[in-house]
Amino acid sequence: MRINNKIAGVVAGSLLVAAGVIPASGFAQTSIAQTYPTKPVRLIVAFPAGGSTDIIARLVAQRLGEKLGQQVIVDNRGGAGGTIGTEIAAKATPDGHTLTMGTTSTHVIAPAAYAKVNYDPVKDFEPITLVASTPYLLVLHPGVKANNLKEFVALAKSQPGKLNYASAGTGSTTQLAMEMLNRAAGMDIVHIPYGGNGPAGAAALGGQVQALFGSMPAVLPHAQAGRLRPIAVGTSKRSPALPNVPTVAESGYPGFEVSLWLGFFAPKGTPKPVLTRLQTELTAIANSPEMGAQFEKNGASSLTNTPAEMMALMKSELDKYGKVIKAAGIVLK
Amino acid sequence: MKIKNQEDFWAGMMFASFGALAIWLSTDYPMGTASRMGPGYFPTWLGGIMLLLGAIVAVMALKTEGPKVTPFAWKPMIMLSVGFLAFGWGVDHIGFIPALFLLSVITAAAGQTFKIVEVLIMTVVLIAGAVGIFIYGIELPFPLFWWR
Amino acid sequence: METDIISNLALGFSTAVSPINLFYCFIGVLVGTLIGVLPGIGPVAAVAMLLPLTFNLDAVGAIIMLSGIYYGTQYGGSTTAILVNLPGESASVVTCMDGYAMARQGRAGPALAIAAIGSFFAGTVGTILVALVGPPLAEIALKFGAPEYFSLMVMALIAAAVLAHGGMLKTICMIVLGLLVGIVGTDVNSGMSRFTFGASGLADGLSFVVVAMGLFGFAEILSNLQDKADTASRDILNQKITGLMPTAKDMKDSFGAILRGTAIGAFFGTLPGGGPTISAFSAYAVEKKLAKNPENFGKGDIRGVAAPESANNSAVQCAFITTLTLGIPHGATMALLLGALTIQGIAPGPQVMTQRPDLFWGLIASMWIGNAMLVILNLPLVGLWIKLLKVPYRFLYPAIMVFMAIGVYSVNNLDLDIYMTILFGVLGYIFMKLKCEPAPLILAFVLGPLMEENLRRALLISRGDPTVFITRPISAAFLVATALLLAFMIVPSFRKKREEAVAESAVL
Repeated sequence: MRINNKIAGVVAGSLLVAAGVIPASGFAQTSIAQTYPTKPVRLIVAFPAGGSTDIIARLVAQRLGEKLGQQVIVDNRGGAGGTIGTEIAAKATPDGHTLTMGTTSTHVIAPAAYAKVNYDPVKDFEPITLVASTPYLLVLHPGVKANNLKEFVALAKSQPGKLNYASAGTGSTTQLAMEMLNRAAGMDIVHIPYGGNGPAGAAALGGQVQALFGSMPAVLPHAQAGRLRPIAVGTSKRSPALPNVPTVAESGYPGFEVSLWLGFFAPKGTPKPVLTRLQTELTAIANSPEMGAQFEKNGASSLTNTPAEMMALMKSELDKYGKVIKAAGIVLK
Repeated sequence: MKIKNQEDFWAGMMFASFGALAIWLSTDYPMGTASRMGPGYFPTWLGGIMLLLGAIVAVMALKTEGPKVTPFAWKPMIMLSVGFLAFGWGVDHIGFIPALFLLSVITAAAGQTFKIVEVLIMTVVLIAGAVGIFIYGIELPFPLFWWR
Repeated sequence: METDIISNLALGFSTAVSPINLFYCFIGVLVGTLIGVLPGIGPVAAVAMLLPLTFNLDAVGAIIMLSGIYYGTQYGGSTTAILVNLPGESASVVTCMDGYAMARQGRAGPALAIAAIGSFFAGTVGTILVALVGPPLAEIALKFGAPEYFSLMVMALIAAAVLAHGGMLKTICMIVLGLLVGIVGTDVNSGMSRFTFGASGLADGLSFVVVAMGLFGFAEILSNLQDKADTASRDILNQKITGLMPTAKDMKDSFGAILRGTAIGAFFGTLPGGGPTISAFSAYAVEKKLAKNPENFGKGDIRGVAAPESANNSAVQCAFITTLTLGIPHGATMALLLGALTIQGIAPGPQVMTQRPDLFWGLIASMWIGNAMLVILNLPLVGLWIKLLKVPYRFLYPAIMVFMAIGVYSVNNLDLDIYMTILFGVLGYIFMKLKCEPAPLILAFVLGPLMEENLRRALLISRGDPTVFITRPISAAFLVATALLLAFMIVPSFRKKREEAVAESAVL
């Protein structure tokens, strides 16, 4: 009797739950996809307004807002190498109304280089799609007696510890790119950190340092004006802006690739249909010719992929940069 | 011993304690050498200079005549601080408008005259102005209330 | 060469003077002034907030409107410095000292007017300078390596001691304290966070807005609330408002100050990093040194407003050169402008002049037009700003607190910044009680990180050889100038001590 009651209770309960929850969850999901977004979407940018990440984010945010029928508000939460804003995004309500623009810096380098970061790039986020990537370009001060990467490596090896390179800061992509090259080519070029791309560029222009593995938008104008000598690009393909400049890979270091990608992430647990909707819209936006032209103006190019590809990319880069960071002894705390 | 110049004496003590604090905090950072300075080098030396100068200021204050320190205005200090605290906490938790309300009313209470009607009118005007300028005008991304 | 400049300027003016661009310029100046004049919202915050307004304009229109916004917010920042002792950026810290003192004597009108007139004059000269020698001048900036910057900062910090009208020793203490406050944040050379107590919100250091709003705004309100028992009456004013415009004597007094300020600003302006700040207080220091009655400085001397405001503006004008031709921003606001240019698809760099002459010369022309509009707009507004001072203080200070809080919060959208402002506010109040000048602290706070960074960088590049500071000529020149400055400061103060056993106030 009591057992029967119990069984009846369990069965009835299960039925109730099944009757209630399964359709409800299905209903909830379709309804989210149909009604999303119900309010303005917040796009957290973990860098200050006016920076290159912010510019790309704003360009995309405006178009995304038009497609979603709700405003996409850019919320700049800069600081600590992008870790502050990314942490806020990781902890936001996962309902699709908070997104973040993640980059190689926030989702690969910072977690690998900082002694302590309060988010896990893999476990705390749902990758949506990449939107753009920025190449890196190795430039020399024109006074340096080397016209290509081979000559430069030979020059550096003939005087180990004598040459200097500038970076946009300790733990920045500009440092890691050069450290990777240092290691690949067996060079010993000394790292001189500067406070950002601007000052690092000025140091190379003024000949305070001999080399800089700078981000394309920062150094391209000077390379085109002949004030800095471009000798290699860090991407796997040559850049359309500088078709005569070989890649590092084809100059004798196969597999070398350094670029900065920018992509959209949602907090872990954001409903699937919302993610799918965002992926569709964002992919279309990033691949549109107008957006491509806008990116081009900012030294970036369109690049999209799937969430699975994005996750794989992140994991392989965490491994790749993690090794460089460890070998170069970079710890940010 | 009588302190002749209270202003300078306490200023000196303050500087000296900041100096000591800086030295103590800097012990966590590698010193490096003069030719290859670590992150601790500069702050340690600054702290040392600060400690020394502060001590000199304080000692000199014992000898030369000088003004007394006027009493602190505790009530305004506490009220303004609480008002700012309320805003800093509130803007993320209860929204822009309630946070502004708290800030305005609490800081208004720091003064000598506090007429509730006057303060409420002023608060409403301030909130309306701030929301108009910052939320609708330049679209700062602050949630207005706790539900949005 | 000369016909080149004339034809270039002609191209510039023909671009900028189109009705639509004039309109953009006017809107920029107007909105910039209105936002910039809100207490607590300095140029950086204002430009960042207003940046999106320009996203949908064409490149020339956008940059013209932005420069209008920039001038407007900057002037707005000086306005709050004079009216309510709230510096919008580090350069207007200097303006606070005599400007606010003038306001309290009922002479806010002349102070505001002279700031606008001085800025306009400096802007005009700056524009001509940019057109004449801009690009070659920009090259000077590239000659500045780490040793040069270090020596320049040493000179600037020693000069900062001139700012004080209290005891010399306490001023030096405040400078050292400012250097220590500047240490907070991530060390550029090692990537290590220092003095952050584990708070990630401090990793990028304290922002200028936090320190300035605390030490100046917050502390000033505290002191006013204590001093004025009768908060029902208007309180900022000690005396009746006397005249909105400068008198003939004011103009005569300021004339030399404006000329010298302009020259000093043009000299330091091209240097990335601290140019306008160093200019402003160097100009102030020079005026104080030249004056027959230096004891008036800090107590409402009109030269103490005219000189730094002119210097600041001509420095800003020259700062545009390096920003545009080298793509090297001077501080946060210029970095924002650079970002705005990039969003318009213009890569700042040497070829901006050749590839987009309309834009480059149009901007230069619009710089002058922006300055002119600023004067036209602001001289009539002086009366309005003065009226603000008549608002009873019990309404004025909560309004200031509200805008300060929003301004501080909007910099990083970080509540920690608000709490840090409280800390600096209380600290600033204690400084007031102990008669310690906050201005030298702020300047050291702004310049200190540059000093340490470049000292260590110089030694890193020279592989530990300290002689780089004297073997490089520009660096050596700055160090010699520093030594002279020190001698000038120490010798008279000793002489004075001998003459009068009890120095009533050791002015230097």
